[in-house]
Amino acid sequence: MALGEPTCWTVVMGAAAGRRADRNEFARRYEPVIRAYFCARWSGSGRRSEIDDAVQDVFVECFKAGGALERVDSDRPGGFRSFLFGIIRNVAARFDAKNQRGESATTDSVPSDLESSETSLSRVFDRAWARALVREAAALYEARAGNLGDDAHKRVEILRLRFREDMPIREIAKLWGEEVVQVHREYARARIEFKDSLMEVIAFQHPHSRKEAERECDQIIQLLS
Amino acid sequence: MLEGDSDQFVDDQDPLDGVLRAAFGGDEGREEASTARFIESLRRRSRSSSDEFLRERGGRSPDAGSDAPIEPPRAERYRLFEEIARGGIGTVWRGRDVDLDRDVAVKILLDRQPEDPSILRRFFDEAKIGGQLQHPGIVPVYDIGALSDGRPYLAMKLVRGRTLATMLAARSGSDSQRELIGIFEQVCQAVAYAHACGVVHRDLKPANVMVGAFGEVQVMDWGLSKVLDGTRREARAPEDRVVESVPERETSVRSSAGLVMGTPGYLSPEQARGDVDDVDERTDVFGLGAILCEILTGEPPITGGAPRARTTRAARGDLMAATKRLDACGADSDLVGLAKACLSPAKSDRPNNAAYVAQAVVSHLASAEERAHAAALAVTAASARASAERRARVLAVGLAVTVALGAAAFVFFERGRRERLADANRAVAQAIDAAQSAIAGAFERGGSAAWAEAVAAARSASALARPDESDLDTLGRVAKLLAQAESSEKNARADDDRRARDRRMIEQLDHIEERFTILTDLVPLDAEWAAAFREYGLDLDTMDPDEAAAQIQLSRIATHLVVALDYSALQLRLHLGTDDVSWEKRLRIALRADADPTRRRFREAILANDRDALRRMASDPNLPAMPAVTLELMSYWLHNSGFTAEGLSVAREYQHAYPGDFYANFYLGDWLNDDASANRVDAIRFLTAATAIRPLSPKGWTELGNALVLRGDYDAAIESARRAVAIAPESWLVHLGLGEALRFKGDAQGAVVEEQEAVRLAPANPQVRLALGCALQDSGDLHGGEAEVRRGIELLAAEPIEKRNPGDAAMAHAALADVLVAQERLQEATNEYREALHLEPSVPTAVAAHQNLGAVLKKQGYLDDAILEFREAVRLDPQSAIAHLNLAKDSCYMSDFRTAIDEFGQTLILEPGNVGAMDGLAWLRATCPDVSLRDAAVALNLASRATKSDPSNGDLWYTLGIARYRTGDFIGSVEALEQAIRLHRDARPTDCVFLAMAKEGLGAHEQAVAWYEKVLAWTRAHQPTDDELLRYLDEAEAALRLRRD
Repeated sequence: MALGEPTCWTVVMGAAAGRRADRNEFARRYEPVIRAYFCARWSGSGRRSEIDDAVQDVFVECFKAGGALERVDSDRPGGFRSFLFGIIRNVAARFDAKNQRGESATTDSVPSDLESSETSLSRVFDRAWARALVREAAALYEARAGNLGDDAHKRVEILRLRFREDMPIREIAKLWGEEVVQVHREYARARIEFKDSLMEVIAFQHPHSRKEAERECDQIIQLLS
Repeated sequence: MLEGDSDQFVDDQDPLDGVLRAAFGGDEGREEASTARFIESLRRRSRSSSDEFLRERGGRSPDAGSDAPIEPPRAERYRLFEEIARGGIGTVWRGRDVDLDRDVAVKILLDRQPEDPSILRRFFDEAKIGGQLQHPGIVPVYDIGALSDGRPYLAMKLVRGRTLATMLAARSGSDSQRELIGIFEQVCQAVAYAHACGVVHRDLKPANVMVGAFGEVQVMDWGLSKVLDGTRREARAPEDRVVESVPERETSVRSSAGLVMGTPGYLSPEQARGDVDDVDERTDVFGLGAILCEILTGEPPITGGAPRARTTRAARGDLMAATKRLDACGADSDLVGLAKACLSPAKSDRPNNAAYVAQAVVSHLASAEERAHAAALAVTAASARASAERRARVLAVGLAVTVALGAAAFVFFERGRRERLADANRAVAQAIDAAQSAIAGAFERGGSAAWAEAVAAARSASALARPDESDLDTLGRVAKLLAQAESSEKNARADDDRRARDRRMIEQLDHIEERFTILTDLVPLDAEWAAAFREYGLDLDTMDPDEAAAQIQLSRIATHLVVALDYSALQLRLHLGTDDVSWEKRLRIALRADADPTRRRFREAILANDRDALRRMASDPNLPAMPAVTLELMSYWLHNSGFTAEGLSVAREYQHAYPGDFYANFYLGDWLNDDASANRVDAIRFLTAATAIRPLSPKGWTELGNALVLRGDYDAAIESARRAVAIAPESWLVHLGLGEALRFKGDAQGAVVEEQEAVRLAPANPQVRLALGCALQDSGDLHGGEAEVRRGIELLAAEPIEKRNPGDAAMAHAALADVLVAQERLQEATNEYREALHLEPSVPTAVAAHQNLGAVLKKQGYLDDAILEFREAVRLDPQSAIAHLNLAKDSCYMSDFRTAIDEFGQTLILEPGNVGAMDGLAWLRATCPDVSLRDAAVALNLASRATKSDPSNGDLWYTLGIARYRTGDFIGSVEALEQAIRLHRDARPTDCVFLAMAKEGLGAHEQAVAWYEKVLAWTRAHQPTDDELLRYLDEAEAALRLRRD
């Protein structure tokens, strides 16, 4: 990664320092992941209205003076993901405690055992995180293809048809009036290019260590496969 | 990678697919926007009439706090009469479609919901999915629209009847259970259709099943349903209908106001855990199991406690109570078994989808009907038996008196017989249950062992069910079970045998291929290979190629077989040459049997000897996406068919694409080893990887050992070679490798032992004879060495012409020359080197031969001839530092100092650390008779570097002494020369001359004279002829004379 290129940590540090652009970028990147966690945690609890508040609380927790982001350490194991997970869990616990104090015994709310099932919630969080990263990789890949001409654009289209429209390669070839073999080749190339984009997005999160980024990439593939 | 399917170049099971699906598969934003647009359009449609609606409600805006409408709401097309149901997000009204004049059910969102986008989305999704599912068991959605107040509605078929929940509450007797199972079967069929369309319901429960007045069954409320992604759709509906994808939205489904995703009591563990991504058809299968459980036991699987507690128990998979209730309910065991299977906490233990459940229920119903029919027959038979018994009793009256005592005894025994019969029937029923369980288990586990258990259980039941004690139904069931178990066991055994045979074949092929490299003797290995194919049912020598190819295509290990055919074809071609066409037949079979288009094209190019096509394929940009076996085939064939560079290039792609593949690393490392220009470190790296991947491969360790020898890392080479010997002590090749490594390390005796073992294993192999000869020579047994080398040369000469390799013969003659040089038989050695050069005039063998020949000629005094040989060596290999060094030294002898200086310089360019070149050039720059070529500063620099590189070499200190003398550093010169004398252990006259001169330079004349006299004394004793020495002696004499004068 080139010197000066933004990374997850430059955004985090910028957000901690109060830079508006970085805060916006921070919110754009992490809001879906945070929301997914709360949705999973309070699934079926009738506490939907609290989700927005909780998401907001996480951001307040991060951005306030002396808040979580100011204590963040870019060398900590697990990268920013584990740090963010910790913040979210704390906010959720706070909401749950408040809710239990005011909750009547008959409310069909959070099952207490599920509440403590952090493994399951952690998995939900990890998956949401992974989805956020791969969507960003897709956006990056598409943007890059836009600058590389028709062939590159076509490869993006193959992935879109294959995975959004669920079309077999044979049908895509038929649709375009091309040789199946040729489309397969482009498909294979598109997969490689997409994976490169994904690695780039992951490197944003793990700028210090290529090895860690590769490990994260494997983990994402495993989570979403 | 799937083989043979042109549409499967990239494996659909690749884990990256999940990532790509997540990345491209669902564009939530776009979908949400589309939903929002739709709802907005509905609102716009209704906006014109909203004022009217408000007026009718007394000018009051829709009351967010009140769910119940004051009066029936209005929709243009529908007249609404009464509310007939109410749920978490909406109410259902009975209405009339005024256009089509039919009754409808209209679902309307509650007043408080329309502003909630997640609820709107769900409502919209329900309409969208319901509108696309067309099945008699699924309530059809007719229309979607907006009321005058803007609330969306959806119009559905109005089903008149009762819900299954109502029926269950009101049921009585076993007749009603049969009817309920019939209803359940229809529910299963409807859900099976939805599954085939890729839709899961996610809220199956009796309350969502409507049973019409005429017995029609419809599954309702698809509001929580979900469209699965493409990879998870196992089957398609008959018309290949797939519901348009409605993306999963965790937010809406998981947090819908007041609703749990599913209903406590019927929730599957994955739903209860909130793991939306884990929901699939088997979640509905759990729901079906829950309905069946309620039909059989009267209660849903999880009962009692608050909804939260029930959800918690569901999440834990705590279904013990349900299982106990099912075991005790007295229903048919197949239904109980089905319900238990559907309610398995682990999804993987449940039937795959509703179609399986439907099939099981259909089978149950058919068998129940059969049983009922059999029972009717049994009743008729029993009635006939009873009337016969009655007739018999009438006849017996006459004898009653006489047999009174006998009759009493009959009653006693008859009672006993009936009790025994009842016991026997119970035992049979238990045995049948056990057999059914064993069969179910065998279906689940698979394999002949499980089926053998099932057969044993069925046989036990059959043995217990005696014709005189069991009814026809029981006997029929037992016979059916036994037949099913036996037939399945037979099939399972056949399948096991096929798998075992396939496994054995793969192991054999791997074993043979491994030994092809380390034994290299084609004939026995090829025979073994052909025998393995014969044993597998493919006699390739006699079979027609088409027939063989067709059989291979049917095999589950078809790819392994075609790869083996490719490999053996290449071995035949390499060993027998292209004139022998047997290799072609094998390659043609592989071509016909293998559907992979790339490999087919490659084989066609080989058979047609289309070199351009082969080159083109080697540079195909899609190589990285090709399967490993394709890259293996291409790299191996290309490298061994004269396309060395192309083979190496494909091997690089192969290794890059499959870094964990043994052959990818092995071939690349092996071929880098063969490539003189390649980086040895790379070769070692890849071969190390190969040995790590397959640590029991002797060829991996052998090649690694060879690479390490080339690198000069003899200790590591010996270790690798020893590993190879430990794994394959029967291979001469591994002993040869170890012997070579030991010899280079300087352990000549160890080398001799290993090479002797190699000779014992392959006495007719010329290579091992030559290696033994060299080892013996190094160990000092020159005659033994010469004998072995000569034997090697004879064996080479005896080989068939097509197998003879001039390079091998050249090396053999060069080895003989070496051993002759060691015996000072220089003329014979000269002849052998010339023979070697005659046989192999090209690099790299010839370079060494020219140099060695030059050295031998020089030793014999033929300096002019020697310099020609050195020049030729340099011409052939301008990158050889040693060739330049030899030429430099010889040029010195020939007093061609300019050439010598150039060649020393060239040597240092190619090998900057070459101490010999540094010393030679320093000496020349310090002492060159042509004074114009002297350069004391350069000499000093080079000599200093040389002594730093090897401070234990006296010659280097001597040169440094001269260089320092030339720069006027007499003190330094004396120090260096004294160091040279110390290291030489005895003062050489040249050391003494310069030491004397340096002493003189320091003004120590007496000491100088003493050293001069020492030189003259040595001269008188040895009468030297060396020009250089004589020159210095002259200098010494002159200096002495001057002193004396």
